[in-house]
Amino acid sequence: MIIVRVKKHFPGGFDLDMSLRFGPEFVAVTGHNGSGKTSLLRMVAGLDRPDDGAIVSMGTTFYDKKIWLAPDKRNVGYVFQDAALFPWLTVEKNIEFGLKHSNRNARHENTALWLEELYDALNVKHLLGRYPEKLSGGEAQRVAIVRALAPCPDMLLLDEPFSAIDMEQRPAVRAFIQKMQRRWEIPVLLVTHDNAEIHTLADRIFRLENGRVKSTSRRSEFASMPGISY
Amino acid sequence: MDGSLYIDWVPILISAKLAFVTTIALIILATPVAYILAFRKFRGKALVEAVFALPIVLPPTVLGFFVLISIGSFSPVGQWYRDIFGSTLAFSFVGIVIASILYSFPFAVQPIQNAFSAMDPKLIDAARTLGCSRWQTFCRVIVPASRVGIVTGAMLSFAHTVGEFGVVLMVGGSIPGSTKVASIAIYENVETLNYAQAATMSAVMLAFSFMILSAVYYYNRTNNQLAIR
Repeated sequence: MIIVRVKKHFPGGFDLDMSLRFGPEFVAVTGHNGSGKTSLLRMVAGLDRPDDGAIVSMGTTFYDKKIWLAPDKRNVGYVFQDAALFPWLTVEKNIEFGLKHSNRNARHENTALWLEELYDALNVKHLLGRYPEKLSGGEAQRVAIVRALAPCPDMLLLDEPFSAIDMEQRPAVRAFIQKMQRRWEIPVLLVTHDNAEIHTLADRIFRLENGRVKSTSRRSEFASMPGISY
Repeated sequence: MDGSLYIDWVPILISAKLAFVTTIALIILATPVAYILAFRKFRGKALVEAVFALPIVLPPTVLGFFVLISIGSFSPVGQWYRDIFGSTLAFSFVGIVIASILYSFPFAVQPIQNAFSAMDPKLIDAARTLGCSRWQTFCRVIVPASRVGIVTGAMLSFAHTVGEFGVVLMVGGSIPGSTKVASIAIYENVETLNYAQAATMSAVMLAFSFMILSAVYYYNRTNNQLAIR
């Protein structure tokens, strides 16, 4: 179980006050721009510190009044909206970067085979020798997903990861991430505005508004409402 | 007037040695200062930045005077140095290294600080979520992303130190083989009407300065074109 209860005041007068509870499932986080979606992900990852509250993931306290677990100790994979690849490293070195530094649970005994599976699934093998400046937006985003998945994180945070990927490749990428979520049984938080994505992937939806959780629904509740707008 | 083309290399080598030692020390000292100024918010930051920028506007003799008073034999630092090493800190090579570090500090800090400030903060976030500690993030992400600024800071510090005159003269005097650097040697040659020697040494300094600046501009141009690859 993941418990996120956070409060934070941002400069400019924006107050975030959220309480979420979910399991090792695919969770869609949706809402208008400025509703606090990315801020929520950043606090779960440890990139921003809440003013108050607690974040507990599968029995490990990431944050409370006395504890602060640094981002590098949280075993969280994060795919940023703009890929955030290291421009001085090739695609291959970008992917290896996380493998070198993370001390994560080795879910795959053979790293080479695991990487081959990732490269094939996300169609990045032909990009390995290139530098990020030579990639299209969709290619960079696929590489960023590979980089986040490669160290086998205990939680995956995706900030609109499919928006730059072309429509032809999008279903395969979505399906692969869903497959990994099921295989590893980890929580995945997906920030998205896309109804199709929500209906295809999400087990649970949190709709945010002005820094608060406006509504929560489970798959059984929203699956029968295909026309619903998020 | 001595018309020989003999070049006294000793002051030039002292200048080069001074610039080399100062540059190494400056990169080590200026990088953490630049990091704090670029990434940390604290009260009085503008004042701290102004203090570090002072050597740009202060006349070198004024800076040299303050340094001389601070490290002279009657100062606590000077007395401590004499107790430990048995010699004076002022009018020594170590003394002019300290003066040079202070004099060239803004020339090292500012390019590095600008490079740190200009980097995409998402790269730091990405490194942290990929398992890097703060120190690993600094070494593996912040330094490579800012290397143009760091190299520029090092080259400018080196060139600026080679061109020092007033500060070195105030703090080091003109002790041959120890604190008499190229710029002072040129000045003394002119004073003694040894124009040929002054002209030859000046030509060496001119060529050297031109080479350093060309290298800075070339490095910046090629690296900016390669999007800091």
